[in-house]
Amino acid sequence: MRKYIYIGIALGGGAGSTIRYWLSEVFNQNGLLPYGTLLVNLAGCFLLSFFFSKFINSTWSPSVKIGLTTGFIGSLTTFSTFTIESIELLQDSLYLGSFYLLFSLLGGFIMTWSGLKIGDLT
Amino acid sequence: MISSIIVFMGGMLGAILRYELSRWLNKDGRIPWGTALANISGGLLLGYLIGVQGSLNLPDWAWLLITVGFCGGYTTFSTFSYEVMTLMKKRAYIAAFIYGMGSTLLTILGAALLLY
Repeated sequence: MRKYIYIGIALGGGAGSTIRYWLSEVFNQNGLLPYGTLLVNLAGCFLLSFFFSKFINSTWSPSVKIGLTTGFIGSLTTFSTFTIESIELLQDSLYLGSFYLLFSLLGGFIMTWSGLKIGDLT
Repeated sequence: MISSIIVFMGGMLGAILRYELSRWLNKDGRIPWGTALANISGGLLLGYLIGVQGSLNLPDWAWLLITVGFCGGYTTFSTFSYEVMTLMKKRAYIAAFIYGMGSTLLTILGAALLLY
């Protein structure tokens, strides 16, 4: 049922974006780095691969699975804000900007790998 | 409350558009061009909007809808990271490198040009 997949993605995407907005309002305001974006991106990487690993043999409906992964977690994390924040940080400090960029990319990678491993083990 | 609903609506649109692009252009074992297109175009759009913010004078609700909601939901970091790892697991190292570095560098350089 294609229609339900679109409803799942719309609801998941809306919810993921709203939670990202709340967390960035709380955590991006002060401090050296935009911790809110960092938090959603790293946590989202872990959750996405964790769910993908769990969903391989699950009988949940595709609309729920795709709504949760592509919709919710896809929208919880953001690439556009991440790149703009990197540019703005690089403008202020080459070190801080490079650190944010590499920490996000490598951290995301480690979290993705961990999510898959833990998903497979549990 | 109102601002959350506005972000929610932008996120809905962004996520659906990203899904359509990925269904159309992402092929197993190759560079996922759909996600690449969403991430690069979403980053460039955000950079452009921030660059012209002063002269554009968008009302607050439209700004939230397009930037935090739409651009945020349209682009994705988790799927990007997962796809790089999947390509590496399939030993498509060159594709993983081009996809990972290409998405990041193109977006950052392009958005920086639009921003300033």
